[in-house]
Amino acid sequence: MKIPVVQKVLEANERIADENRRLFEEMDVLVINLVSGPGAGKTTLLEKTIHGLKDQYRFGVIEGDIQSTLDAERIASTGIPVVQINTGGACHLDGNMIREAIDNIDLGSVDVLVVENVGNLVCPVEFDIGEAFKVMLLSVPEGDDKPFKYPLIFHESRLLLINKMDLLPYVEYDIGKMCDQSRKLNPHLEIIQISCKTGEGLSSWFDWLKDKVDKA
Amino acid sequence: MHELSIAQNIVDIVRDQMRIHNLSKIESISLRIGVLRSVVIESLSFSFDVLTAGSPLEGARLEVEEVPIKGRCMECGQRFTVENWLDDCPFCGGPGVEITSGKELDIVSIEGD
Repeated sequence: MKIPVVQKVLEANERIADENRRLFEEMDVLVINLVSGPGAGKTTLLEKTIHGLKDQYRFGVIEGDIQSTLDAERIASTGIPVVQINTGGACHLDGNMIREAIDNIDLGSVDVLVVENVGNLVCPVEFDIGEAFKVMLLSVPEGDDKPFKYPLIFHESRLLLINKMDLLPYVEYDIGKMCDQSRKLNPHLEIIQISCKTGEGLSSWFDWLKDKVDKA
Repeated sequence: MHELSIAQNIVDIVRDQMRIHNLSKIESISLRIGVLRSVVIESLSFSFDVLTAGSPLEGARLEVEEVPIKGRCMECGQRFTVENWLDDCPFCGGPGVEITSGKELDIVSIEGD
């Protein structure tokens, strides 16, 4: 017997993510899903962002890692609320993990909740968590071939931050090609070049974030 | 390894359908998966086999239709298959493409008794 089903495989996750999204909107919390490969500088970017904007906005952070609480400890030392999710092997966060994590955050006292996803450019893209935007972070030493290896993340992100620009003179990296190819995959993608080390470009990122929080 | 999570979701959906339609054995599950999803079919089948060993789903075949990436030119509106991201619109040479398919991840049907 053949039975037509016609159902999205990840529908269960998408339902939970939509519930999360409704809750975030009700509570007036802007949620950013921060996605990158391992070592691009997600946690350092968060530290700099919190440091730069904590007088203007109340931040909260959810840290996703396969194991360890190292990142959460770094964020906790900035004095803002942080929840660590250890996925125990899973390579991405999903809607249900976020639903459970936000039980431990007082959303009423948070303006911006940044979810630092597990370091991976493939799997986190598949699983909606209820965010307002995906922001992807790449870094110069990773190389300029990422757009064609990982097209979906470029397609799904609102903003691309290219970090470690201070290393540009030392590595083979064509920043023009990188930007052109990224926009080829997503004509609406915004791109900001930054260096968390020197502070280059961070004010543009802060302005981008402020604009989104104020409109939310 | 998002294939394992995807396989688990497939198993959950098929189990629900088995209950609804009173099936005790599944022969095959037909899926449509867009190329943009970067799903490795071999990994998906392997994950599915591991998850279903010893269950009524054991031995079910995954029949996957891969859906190519298609887009619509943002300049001239023509639709075409995207073979290479670097290519401009084959009709007008415009650079911007809006994706219209290639992100599918659907169960289409199941077959069983």
